[in-house]
Amino acid sequence: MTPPLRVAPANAVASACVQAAADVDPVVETSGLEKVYQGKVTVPVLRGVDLRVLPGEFVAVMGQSGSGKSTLLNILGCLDRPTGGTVRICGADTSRLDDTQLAHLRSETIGFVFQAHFLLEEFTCLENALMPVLIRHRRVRAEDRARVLALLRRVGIDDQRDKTPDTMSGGQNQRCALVRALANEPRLILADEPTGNLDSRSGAEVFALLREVSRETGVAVVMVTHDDRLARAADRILRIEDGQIQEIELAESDGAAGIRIRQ
Amino acid sequence: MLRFESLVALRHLRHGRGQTLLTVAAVAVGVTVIIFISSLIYGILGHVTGQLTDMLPHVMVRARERTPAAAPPRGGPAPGGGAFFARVERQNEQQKRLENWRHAADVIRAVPRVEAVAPAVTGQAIARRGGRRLGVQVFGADPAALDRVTPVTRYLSSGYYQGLGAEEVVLSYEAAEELGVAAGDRVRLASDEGAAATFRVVGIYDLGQEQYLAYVTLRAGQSLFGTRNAVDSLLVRTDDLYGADAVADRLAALLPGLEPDPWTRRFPEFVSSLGGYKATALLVSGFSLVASGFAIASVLIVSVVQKSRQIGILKSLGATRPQILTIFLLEGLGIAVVGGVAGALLGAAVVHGLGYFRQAPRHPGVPAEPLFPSDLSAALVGAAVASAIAATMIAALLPARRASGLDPVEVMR
Repeated sequence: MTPPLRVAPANAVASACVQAAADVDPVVETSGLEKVYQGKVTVPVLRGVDLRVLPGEFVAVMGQSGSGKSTLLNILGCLDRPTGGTVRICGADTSRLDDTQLAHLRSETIGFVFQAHFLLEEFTCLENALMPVLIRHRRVRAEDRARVLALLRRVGIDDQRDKTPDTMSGGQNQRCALVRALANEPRLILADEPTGNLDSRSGAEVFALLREVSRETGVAVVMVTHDDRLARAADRILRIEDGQIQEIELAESDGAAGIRIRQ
Repeated sequence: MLRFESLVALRHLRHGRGQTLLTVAAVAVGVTVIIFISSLIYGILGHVTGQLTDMLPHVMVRARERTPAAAPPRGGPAPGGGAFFARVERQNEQQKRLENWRHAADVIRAVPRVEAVAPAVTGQAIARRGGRRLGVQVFGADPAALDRVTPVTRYLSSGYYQGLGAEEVVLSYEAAEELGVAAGDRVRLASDEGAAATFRVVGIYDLGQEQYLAYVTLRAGQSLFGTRNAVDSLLVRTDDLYGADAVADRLAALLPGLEPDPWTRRFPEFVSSLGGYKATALLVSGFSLVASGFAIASVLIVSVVQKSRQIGILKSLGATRPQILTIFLLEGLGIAVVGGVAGALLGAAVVHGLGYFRQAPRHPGVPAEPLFPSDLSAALVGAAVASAIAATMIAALLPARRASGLDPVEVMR
């Protein structure tokens, strides 16, 4: 049975992974990150988020609906701009980049996996998986094709390569989306509830693949999830509440197997 | 594999099937209408212009007319306190003859754009055959020279004009009908100057216009109108009907004593009506373009709305604004080129097919004229396709810009 999550005292022990990699340049680094939605009512969503994600880390982000998880992910993915604070992706200050430079940064360093697979219906599985390569290089080189084919084999859908998304199962489509996210050998994968639309078995398989691929390739992963069990398998768990982020540590030493929050 | 933008645009078009076909059809119909209407209008224009101007010298060079000066008005107090004015009316103008016409003809021939010069004597005469009398316009000219200026031979329905003898005449169909003569019959021509001669009809000329004309040799004309060795006009053909004004101006500068008169000054109403026809053709073509442009724009806008989520996905994968813009412009270009070529083929086929419809011949022996005179040129087809492509690209620009500006977060929410 999955142990329940509980709040732990501040200044808990950081993960060994984080400590070991303390001197490594972070893939993601935010400082005082703020996002306010201006409308009839001003809604502050993120209020001073400081976050560092190191290469190879697998970070789960949890929180209530509307707490700003997806907003954080969109800002980290350079799809949205913060209203305050700074974001550095692989050392690049995103506030200094124009739209085209942000698009190039996305193309070269970030892979997305969404709750819906968002594959393009006009393209085959292989073509969808190659799409980021095509966008980045305008054409597909032999080595790109070989790499993507190997990834399709790795996630077990190489026999689906010529099928279109509407003829594949939900799990297969999401695996294809995972390969697409990895196609350009990114340094960061942003996954927004990647198993949210799948049944529990397919969801577990896709998550396991994401976790394994992360370990194998050293890519950092920031995954938004509502699923405690998936979060438990991450290196770190972050909770967004009232626009601020708290780090939760799974308390292995605790007999109740609870979690602690690092402030 | 194609480049990213071309591949996505091509897949959009292929995947769109019915929608793509509809848009291509809109462009094709637009191009067909442009080609059809324009070729018909220009065809009718060319036909009418040809009929009216083929037998018209582009420039007619005459001696400057004698215009007796009007006497100054005389006036004074009238008995009883009123006033009176009297004025001497201008006398009838008289046509001065060209004595030294050979020199003038040489000068005219040397002017650029002049194709041919025919010295001619023209005037009114009464044609008689038995008890019938008819006023005719007589053209006395060398057939070889006149044929190069106003192609009489081309419009002969019977007989000959080249090799016309001194006592032979070619009559217009209407004149022959009125006089009741046919080839081989004799007809007597009497000029206002009092000279008369009998001619044998050797040809009937038919332009389809109600004209009473008689063509005789230059020598016969000179005898009939008593001009001796002189002529009364030099008829000039230029290589461009609409360049006659410029040639006339050039001739006026070169030949100060003569008065070159371009056809456009003799028929100003016709020239302005030609301008009206051309403007109509342009307007109809323009409206067809605008109509198909709107159809294309609306379909592409719908396509952008349908594809907005996909655009968001592509942006999340790293696609830039220019790349998205290029995709939708390429879609527009694909539609424009396929639609334009299809429309060109269809338009050309329709115009070609209409050429098979003929009017009933006016008179026996006269070739049947086309029911729908059309003028289909490669330039017209090229212009129609090019303007359709330009209109489509303009129509595609708005949705393409909209697509490239979409916020990926918004559209993927």
